[in-house]
Amino acid sequence: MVNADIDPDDGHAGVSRRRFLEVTGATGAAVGLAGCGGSGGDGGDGPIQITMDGEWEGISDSVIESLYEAGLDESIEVEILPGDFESGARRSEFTSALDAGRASPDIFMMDSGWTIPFIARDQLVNLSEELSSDTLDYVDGNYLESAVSTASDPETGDLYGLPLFPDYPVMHYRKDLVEEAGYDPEGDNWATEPLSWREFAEVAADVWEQNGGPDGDEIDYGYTTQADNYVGLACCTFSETITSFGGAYFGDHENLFGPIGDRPITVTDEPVLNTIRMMRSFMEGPDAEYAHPDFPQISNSDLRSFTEEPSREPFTSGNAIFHRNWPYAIPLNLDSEEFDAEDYDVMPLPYGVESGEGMYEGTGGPAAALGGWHLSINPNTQRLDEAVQVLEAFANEDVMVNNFSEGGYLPPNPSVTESVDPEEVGALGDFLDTLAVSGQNTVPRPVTVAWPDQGSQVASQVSDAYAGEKSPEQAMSDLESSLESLEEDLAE
Amino acid sequence: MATDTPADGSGSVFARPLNWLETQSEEVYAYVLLAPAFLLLGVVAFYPLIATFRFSLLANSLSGAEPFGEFIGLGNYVDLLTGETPFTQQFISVTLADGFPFVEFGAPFLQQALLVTLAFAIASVVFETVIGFGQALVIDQDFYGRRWVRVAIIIPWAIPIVIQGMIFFLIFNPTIGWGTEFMQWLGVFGDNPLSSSTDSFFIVLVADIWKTTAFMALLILAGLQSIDRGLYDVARVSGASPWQRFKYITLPLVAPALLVAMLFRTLDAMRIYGLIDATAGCETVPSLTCLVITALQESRRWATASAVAFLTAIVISAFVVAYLVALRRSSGGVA
Amino acid sequence: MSATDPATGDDDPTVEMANQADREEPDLDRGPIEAWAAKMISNPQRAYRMTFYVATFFFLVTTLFPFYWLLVVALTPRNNLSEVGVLLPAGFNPGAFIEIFITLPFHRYVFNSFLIATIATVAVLLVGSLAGYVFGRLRFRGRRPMLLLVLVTSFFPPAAFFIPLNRLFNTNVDVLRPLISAGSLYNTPYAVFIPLSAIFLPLSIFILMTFYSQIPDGLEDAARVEGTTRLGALFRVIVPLSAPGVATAGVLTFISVYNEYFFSSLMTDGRPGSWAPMLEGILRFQGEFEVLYNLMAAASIVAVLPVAILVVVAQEKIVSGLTSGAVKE
Repeated sequence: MVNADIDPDDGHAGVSRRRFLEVTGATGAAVGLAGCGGSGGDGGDGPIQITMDGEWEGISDSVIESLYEAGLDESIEVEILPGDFESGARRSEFTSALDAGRASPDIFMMDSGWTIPFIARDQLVNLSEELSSDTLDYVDGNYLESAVSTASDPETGDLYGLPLFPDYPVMHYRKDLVEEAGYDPEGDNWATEPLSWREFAEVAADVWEQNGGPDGDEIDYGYTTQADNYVGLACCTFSETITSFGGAYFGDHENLFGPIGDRPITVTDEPVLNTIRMMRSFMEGPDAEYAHPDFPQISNSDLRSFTEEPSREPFTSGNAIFHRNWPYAIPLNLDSEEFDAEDYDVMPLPYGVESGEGMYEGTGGPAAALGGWHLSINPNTQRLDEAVQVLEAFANEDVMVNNFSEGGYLPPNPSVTESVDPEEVGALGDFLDTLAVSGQNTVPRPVTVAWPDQGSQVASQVSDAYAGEKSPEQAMSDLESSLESLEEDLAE
Repeated sequence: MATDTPADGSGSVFARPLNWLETQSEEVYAYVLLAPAFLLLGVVAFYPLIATFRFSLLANSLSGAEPFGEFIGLGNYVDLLTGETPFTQQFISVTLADGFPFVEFGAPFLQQALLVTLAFAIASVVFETVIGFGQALVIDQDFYGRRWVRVAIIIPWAIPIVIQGMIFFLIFNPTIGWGTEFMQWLGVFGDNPLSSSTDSFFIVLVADIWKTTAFMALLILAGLQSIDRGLYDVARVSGASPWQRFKYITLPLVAPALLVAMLFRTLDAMRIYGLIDATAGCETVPSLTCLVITALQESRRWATASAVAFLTAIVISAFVVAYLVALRRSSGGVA
Repeated sequence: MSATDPATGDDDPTVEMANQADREEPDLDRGPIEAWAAKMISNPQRAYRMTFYVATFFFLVTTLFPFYWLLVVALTPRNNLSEVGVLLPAGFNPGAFIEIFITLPFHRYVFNSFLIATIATVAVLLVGSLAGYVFGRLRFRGRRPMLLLVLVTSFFPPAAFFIPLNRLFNTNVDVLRPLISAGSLYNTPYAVFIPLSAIFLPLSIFILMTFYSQIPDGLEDAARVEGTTRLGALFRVIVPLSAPGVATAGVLTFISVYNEYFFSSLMTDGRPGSWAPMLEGILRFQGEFEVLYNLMAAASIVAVLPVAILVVVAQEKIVSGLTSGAVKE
């Protein structure tokens, strides 16, 4: 029985479906073309575009205002774009933009941890040839030296990026708990005089003990930091701790940025091994395998899955006593509902050996990993002069103070940080002295074209050692061989 | 049904070309109809793949603005297969051993991208097919409120991968989630599931099954819906049990849709990346696409990334051969 | 559950047997569990029913629970997130759903994704139908190789297309300036939906091919006898009859394009006015360090709503297939 009664509605459905498709297609095309024209030209005319991040975009009106007040020609329009949400993604975005030869954005905000590879590949405008000599002198003489070094060509010393703000971590802690336990942070000047790791660990263990300890219920962590297998372990937490013990990845700090293949690899030294052992003990106690017998347990193995935010959560919710983190966490901690602002304070990171007494030049002391961001110019931009002028405007103290107070971004000129009125800068104003100490002891990461690969090797081996899967000696010796082969591969 | 004359409504614009088309042979007709699809694929898929293949034959260049060096033929492929690339996870790291089982793993099983990806693909496709079939059978029934059950079962597929990853990341997060304690109470997981390769593998597997079962259910349901209900009535009258009805009517008739679903599900499972990145991270659970992205975005070894992409395709095509044979045997579809 | 087949008037034999069994149940002394088991064994219909309900319940719970937990996270204020429970939020903050629209123009992002997904789905269904018809119903030289070629593009991780497509779509080509003001397709919707349509085309071609091939030739011939063109037969007969397949392919494509992120992030600069996709909007609630999980959760729930509505509408089509025996010959 052939059902030849194809529903007449189906026929209509066929027709109307085709009409629907036509209409949609036309609408789409129309909207698309409208979008084309409306989405602000790409490189030709329109404002100078700076790709930064979401937070900068949020304060962009105030920033641009301050640029004009600093003398930027008002006919130059500036627009701040929110880049991708994390540092690595932004690096990929810029790599794609440069590979396609895009003219926009005109200015990149680049992480100080990966600017040098772009410099080495000749993919940025040489600012030493474009900026006025006044500005160049100002940068040279006043900006934080380690920050400038991460924005310059390691061989020629030419400047390719204008440091926008540096970033260095501090130790956040619960002053109320420490004082209740019988210590005197104010009297002993913890804010400017760092403790040694040994002292620090003993205080942390003691305070934790008096608040329940590892087996108690009250406080889950005596100390939190970031020890996950990720880029932050290699560049920052591990790097600063080994430096505070006097060790280094590549020997003297003059070798940080090269020459690749021509520098020693010093990861098997005692200070590095001791760092691993100390962390093992912090996480699992002095009796654990491969742990350092002289340090008490002040945390647990959750550290191995912590990056910045997961490590901050417990502290801000009142569940940790000490916490190593970047200054972005300061306003968040002041806002905490679990403790009052006066119960909270910061101090510089502890040291392993005294400043200057490390095995290598530049090591020892309360080392703090250097983060921060630079502004660099896209070589494909069609408005080089205007972009340069924008950069000149940023190299101005009032602009720096404005950035500091609006967004909490430290000025690249340390003397500005010291002389600023604490009232003006909001949350960070109470902690300027500690920030100054950290600022004097920064250790940049060894950025070269080889560092992306090397960094993941470091993170991977150190992670294995932290987990106790390998002995520190084994892990570091494996690391030495992979770093060596990478150095050979990319030797210049 | 009225005869369709070229003069009516919507056909007028297309009348002339349509009439010309009518007079062509089947073969010409076929090629004309395929033209839009192949044009689109040509620009967006074929051309880039040829370019990427060419890239995979060049050397990496980390120190110049141009990301590719000189021609080195199959050098990148050889490096990958012998475990010589400077990545923390290798494509494969297996050497021949003397005794049983004849191969020795250089790195742990779950730290080798190829093995992780294969294990993941097989496990996820098996579970998703079985569970998805169950879900499809359920939605196929006629019951009150089935429309909403249907929507509920499809919802996981509508959730973006990043959010899906975020959900499971939060559940197993030491400070926020409750999943770790629960799994430790069951005795299954260790201390830091998101840092351990084995535990994370299971988390990613469960997360994927949760979401992608909906994909399988949807396709299988479409297949089930196309089966003539009358056949079931005939079978029931002849005394067939529900299991027999399933085995002799449902299974063969749904086989084409089922095989297409399994095929594409395998293709997607072998290319997994976004979920891993959002949950445990590529360092803990390396997959083949993880290697491609790491080489592409972190270390700028674009030639190696291209080679991994092609190696991935080769591995996948081995699976596909098996599917095509099965598809040919089933009555619908390709044969 | 009627025991009488309306067509033939016979009693349904299994139900009759079950009723018989009920009546003849011996008067044994059994515990409640045994009695229940005995009832199940002697009345298989009920057992299947029970399995069905258990299965349905199990599926519902497992598929909806993570989504429910997402809602719990959305309702928890950010600072209390470490105390969030399995079933209940730690605090109650429905303001999160308003906050997402204040912090960003999130509605614009959702609109972008919705529009791009719609256009891409229409394009894929159109182009895919043509190809599916050809592969499913026609015989011609080169059919198998061409089909394999379509399939092969799905063997590659999407990243394999990145570099060449980035250069192709984002390079400033001055020749194009009169047409496109910017000189490249960067930041236009074309740069997004053209690649995405192509990437999701193979799956739809295969689905449509499978369904179109199952329509008997008789129906198509009948339509052509009545005077439509071959193309007309496709759109007026075959497509409507394959509604489950077409609707499924449409839903799958729409959802995939709507949720896509990697290509879209290459082709736009992330601002809502530049046609950035919805996911880019959600990820904007993440800073470099700080992650506002509750807002991300709220935003993703809001973003799922258009898709859920689409699924509700489309699933009518998915199940309105050949249930009435239109194919009997």
